[in-house]
Amino acid sequence: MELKELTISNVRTKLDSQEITAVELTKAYLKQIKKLNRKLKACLTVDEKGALTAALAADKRITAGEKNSLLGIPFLAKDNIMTKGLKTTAGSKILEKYIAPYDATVIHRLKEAGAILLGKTNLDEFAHGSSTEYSAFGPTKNPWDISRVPGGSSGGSAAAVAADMCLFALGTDTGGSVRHPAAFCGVTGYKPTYGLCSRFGLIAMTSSTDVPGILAKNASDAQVVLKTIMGIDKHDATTVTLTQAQFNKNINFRFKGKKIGIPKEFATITLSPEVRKAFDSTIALIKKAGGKIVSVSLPLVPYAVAAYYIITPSEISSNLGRFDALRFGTAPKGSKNLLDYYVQAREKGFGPEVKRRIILGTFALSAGYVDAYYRQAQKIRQAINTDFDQAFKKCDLIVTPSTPSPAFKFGAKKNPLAMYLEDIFSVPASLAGLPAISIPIVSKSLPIGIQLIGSRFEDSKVLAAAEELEKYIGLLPKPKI
Amino acid sequence: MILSEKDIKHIASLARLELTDREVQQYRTELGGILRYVDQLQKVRLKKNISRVEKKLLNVLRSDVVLEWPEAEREQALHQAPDHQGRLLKVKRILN
Repeated sequence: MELKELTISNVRTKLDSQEITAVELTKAYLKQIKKLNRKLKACLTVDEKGALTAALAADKRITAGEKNSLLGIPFLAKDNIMTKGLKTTAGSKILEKYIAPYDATVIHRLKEAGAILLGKTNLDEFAHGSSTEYSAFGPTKNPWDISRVPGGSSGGSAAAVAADMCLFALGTDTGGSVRHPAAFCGVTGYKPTYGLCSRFGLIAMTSSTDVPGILAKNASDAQVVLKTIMGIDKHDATTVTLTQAQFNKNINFRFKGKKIGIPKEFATITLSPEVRKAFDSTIALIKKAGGKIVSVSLPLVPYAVAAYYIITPSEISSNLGRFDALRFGTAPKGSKNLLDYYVQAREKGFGPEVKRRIILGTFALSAGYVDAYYRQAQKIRQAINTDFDQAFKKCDLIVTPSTPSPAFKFGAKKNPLAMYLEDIFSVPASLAGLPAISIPIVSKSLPIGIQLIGSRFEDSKVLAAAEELEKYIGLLPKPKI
Repeated sequence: MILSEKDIKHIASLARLELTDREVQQYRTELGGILRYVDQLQKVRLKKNISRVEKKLLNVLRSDVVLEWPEAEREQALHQAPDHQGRLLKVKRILN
């Protein structure tokens, strides 16, 4: 079995024809994880026993004739997504020993469908970062070049898909945490519309932009996973139901005769020569497919990163208030009183970037500054929403690079602001809650990501366009690990 | 916006964080850089009618009733606490 050739759709045929069993498939992936994880550190937990039990159950269902797109498909999940009975650390010391008492809705739905959870993947602590260098358990390495970061914060999930440790992986995307590592690792990374997939059981970072996302081998596999995890959930009041007809409306989208927008405001962002070249060749491919390139304007988008780095730390400072080591977390030793207990638990449990964001957010929400910072940022966010609404009157989709450069070396972004600017292309869609995808191109020896952004709830259009573009891009080389 | 050492310490105490002197200096420099960048938001002149939130949003309500939680999950959740007794969490006393 050549793992690198497998996709969800071709494995489906093999499983249904009983050419292979889910147990064989699961064993092959567990073997691959064992072989590569020491080098890459993509996984924090591997659940061999649980995976084999699930695989056995899946085989029974397949033999009984059950048809389900994800039945017997092995996957990994980012370690800030709750998995019942398994450690869920969020990449933080404060949750080092935490075992989730229940499954996140997305995990529950995947398990019900018969997908097989292999384990949990590495991430920047609490998903705060764009390189996995902020993981309390050590960084993940990029499978293309282990001296480089895999991107983040879902770096473990992206590296695992790139290194064939699973057929797909779940991540979370708050400001680009699925699309960014997908671009750096040469895989497909899809962020659904806010509200399409439940956030219940995701360890909250920025509740107003957090979404579960999918890292996959291609856009068609991402769509298969999406169909299983999407839909209303009574545990997340922001979820909505999209009827089959609404979802399928754009499923046959093709570039031919459609308008694809390039925001003119992005023209001032400095791109590395490789990204510039990859982006230009993508534009040529879109034209070849019959798409019309048009210039659109998103006047407030140049302020998106600044607004995001007020809104996000503000929500973080509030969401991370619950980490007091009373209900979960590690108790500090020898504290004088309750206040001292909180302070010591947080001091020892949180890493530097988490503290930086908590302090920044506490400041932005504090008396005297809340109007100038938080409220102003929220107004700009609203204006960015309107900008996108206007732009989508003139085009079907927006295309941008996913990141300004390919994967950087470990330690290259020591300045926190430099790390924040990694999200420059991904943050606008997050602030506006739009569906977006990063698909890979390989330039020389490193992958580059191209991002497609769609209008709210037009996820199937984004996925169909990505699938068509992937066909034009053609077969890509695989990393040599 | 420039934050003083005193500001950083005050904000940290509001967030229930205690910083070493080295951390205070580090965060002062780093946050200074970040605030210089986000200060560009102050210059943005927005149209008067922009509200902070989406107008079309609706509240989702449910009746105020206790929902049953499976015993095994409840046990598992309780066992995540550093200290508990029966069905109660043990914490340090608040009043002396």
